[in-house]
Amino acid sequence: MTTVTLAQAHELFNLVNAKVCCPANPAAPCIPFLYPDDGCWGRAHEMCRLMIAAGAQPQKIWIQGGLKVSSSNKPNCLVTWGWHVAPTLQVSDGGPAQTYIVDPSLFDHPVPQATWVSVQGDPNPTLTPTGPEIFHLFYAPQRYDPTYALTNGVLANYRNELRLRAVSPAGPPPYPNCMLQPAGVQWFGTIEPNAQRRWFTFGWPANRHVFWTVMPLTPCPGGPQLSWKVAVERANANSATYWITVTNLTAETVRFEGRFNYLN
Amino acid sequence: MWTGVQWTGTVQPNTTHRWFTWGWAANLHVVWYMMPTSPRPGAPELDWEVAVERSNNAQCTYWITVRNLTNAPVSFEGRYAVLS
Repeated sequence: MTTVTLAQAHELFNLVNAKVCCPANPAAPCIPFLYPDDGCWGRAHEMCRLMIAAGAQPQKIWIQGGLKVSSSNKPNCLVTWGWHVAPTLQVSDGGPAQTYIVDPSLFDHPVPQATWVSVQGDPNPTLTPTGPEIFHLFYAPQRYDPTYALTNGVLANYRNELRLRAVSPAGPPPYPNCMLQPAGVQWFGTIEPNAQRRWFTFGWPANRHVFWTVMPLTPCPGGPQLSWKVAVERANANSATYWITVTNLTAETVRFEGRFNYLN
Repeated sequence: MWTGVQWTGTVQPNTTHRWFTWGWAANLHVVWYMMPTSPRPGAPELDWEVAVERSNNAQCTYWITVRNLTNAPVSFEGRYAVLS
């Protein structure tokens, strides 16, 4: 089994993660990482295909147990599974090889196997490593999928589920009720397709130099999603109010962070 | 905070051109600004707008539209600062 460096593992992770689906318009061949509820075996098989095409030799790891995973990509913030699967890579930067997991539905980078297991809520799961050729370990009629026909069917099914959720009242992922507000984030916002909306935030010390930026939270590769402009009101001798106008440049609802930094 | 020059470019007279730069860590707070390298005293030379795309759960792509306000070509540096 050929090993890769940690840097190469990150490159392979980024290779598959770049295929993430836009939630409201999940067109093939994208991978519905943002629908964590189900379909992991299809995602894993497609990720292995992409990594093999790039010259890597991924394997798979299957985990069984009472799995409970926190996810900001499900409206109730919790995913429960009886089993789960993801590709693995053998990683070495000169020392002994370590198994890393490539699972963009749970992480934004490759993680050691122990880390991957630890977030799934079962202290004693059953782990079964296999080769990449195993499509479905627990359903014998679909054990293999050399033509990727079954894979494409699974991906199509869960692209549809993702789209249905994104256009439902819940809206697209991620869901702010599942997220902690990081330092430097003033608010989580949602903006409708092709809309322009203005937010204000008051009580800022006027002697501070404050810079405002916006960062989409809803991934959708392919073009710019948001632009913004900032205006300011001197509310009194000591404080200011900032007015931030955000424009959604896309035909999909976008969630975002409104960020600030003090420059002085 | 750290700063840098991501690219150098030229915008033709009275035109607008858009650049993109990808693979930025989305958790970083990054701001973009332009600096002409073609001296032309007396009036503003460039303005710009920034838009952003979340390309996946970890990375983003910035799209920077630069406008030449003059009737001569303007060369410039595309500068960034990572605020946090």
